[in-house]
Amino acid sequence: MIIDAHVHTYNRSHNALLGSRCSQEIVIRAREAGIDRIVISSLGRTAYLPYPSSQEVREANDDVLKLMQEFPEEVYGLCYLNPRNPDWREEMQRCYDRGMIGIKLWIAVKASSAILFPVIEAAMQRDLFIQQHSYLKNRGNYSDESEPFDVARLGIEYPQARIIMAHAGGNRREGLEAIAPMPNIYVDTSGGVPECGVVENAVAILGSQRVLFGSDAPGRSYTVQQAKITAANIPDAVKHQIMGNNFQGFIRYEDN
Amino acid sequence: MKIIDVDLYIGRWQHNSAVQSSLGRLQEEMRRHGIEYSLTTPLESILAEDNLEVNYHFFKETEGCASQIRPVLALNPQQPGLEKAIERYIDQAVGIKLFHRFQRYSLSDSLLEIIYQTAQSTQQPIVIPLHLFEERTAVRSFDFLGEVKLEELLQTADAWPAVNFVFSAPLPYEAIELLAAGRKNIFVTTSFLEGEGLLEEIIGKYGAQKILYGSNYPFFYMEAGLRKLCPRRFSRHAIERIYFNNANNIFRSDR
Repeated sequence: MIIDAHVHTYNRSHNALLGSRCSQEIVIRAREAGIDRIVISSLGRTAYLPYPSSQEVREANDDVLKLMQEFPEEVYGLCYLNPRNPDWREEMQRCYDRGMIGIKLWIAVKASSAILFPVIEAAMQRDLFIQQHSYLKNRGNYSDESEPFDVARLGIEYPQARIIMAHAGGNRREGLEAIAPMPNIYVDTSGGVPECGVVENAVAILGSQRVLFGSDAPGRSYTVQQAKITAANIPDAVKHQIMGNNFQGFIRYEDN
Repeated sequence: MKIIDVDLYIGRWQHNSAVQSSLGRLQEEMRRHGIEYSLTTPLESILAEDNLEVNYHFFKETEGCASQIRPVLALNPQQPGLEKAIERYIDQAVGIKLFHRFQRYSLSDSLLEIIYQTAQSTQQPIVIPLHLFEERTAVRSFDFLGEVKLEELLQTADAWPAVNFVFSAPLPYEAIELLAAGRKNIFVTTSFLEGEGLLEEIIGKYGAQKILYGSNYPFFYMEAGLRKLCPRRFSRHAIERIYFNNANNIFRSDR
């Protein structure tokens, strides 16, 4: 089974580059690319919104809930939250009640910020995992954008929390090494160009079980991002793990 | 289906040990992925300090396999040996490649006059890679890389209307702006074009005639580039143009 651990909905800002697409197309295209299940979040209906209002968060999550209803066998939903909103707890509960399996955190708050701690605790109480955006950029991150070191601190603070560090933190050695000692932090391979060596590096530093396939579609392509794994210089059994088995283990999903 | 890969390199990239390809490995990868022939440049030429030296080694290494590995003459107008390299290798090359962003010069610099004139007189295209790797996370040595100046590219193409310019590896918005400008002598490659629906949108708006296939190997996996043109989403005609016909028309195929 191939599971894409990092997908977003189409939004209006995609139109200029990707054309006006119906919301279902993100699932249909995954199916065409041979992907069995996608783990999807919406970062906003109009654009990727770094500090969405409560209403914008609800709209974003409504779009994911709709896809979950339409494609129950193919879509796992993540609940996008802005931890700075006063009603994040209610939104988390609403999404949890409707079957979402994790929390999506982007760049509203750094992963090491104490503002986030109650969110993590509430997620753990509901057995929700956290998909935390993270990048280590040369020219500096956005003001509230997490570096892998922030994610590492979160992992130390909450060793029982299940965390996916998205984009493998930008795939840099120092970022991967920062989270390597925390077995509760996984990475996804999403985003970035299909550079040779990135998945090999992640496996070498983290081991084969903590690396999950992710694409970051629709901004990235399902098929191109799959090639980062299928073309990597790693054993076929490890490729198989990364493409789906590891995620099944991560969410304790036993069905085949 | 025949495929020409316009964005290929051979050699070693000193900043990333995963980015390297010997001649033998390149040929093997091309065979495995069904690439008819490639337009190839040495990785060492990106940061080379002598035009003659880097091209000497490259042309010598590839001289026996010109039907599969077609050399593109990489030139740095700021480094010695420019005129001699042109004189010695232009007839063996199928195009000229400039790395102006990575070698930090302007395309309007008067030093480039001889290169543009050569391209015009020999009818060889000029290939200008706009990106090579993930710049957000690249080593600090490349912190100087600023945004691509699209206006500079358009002005250069306008100044030399008889020369075909292949702006290789543009980001999606760069490709769209370059194609939208509607210049007859501007082409782009696919190596950095990625997104669910992106190529369909671009081809739908601007046609397939200005798009060339490129993998950016060995920076990128060859396999990744080949997964972009799904037959379910594109007409056979469009795929053939991008994979082969467009490049075959503008690069000298009689060598």
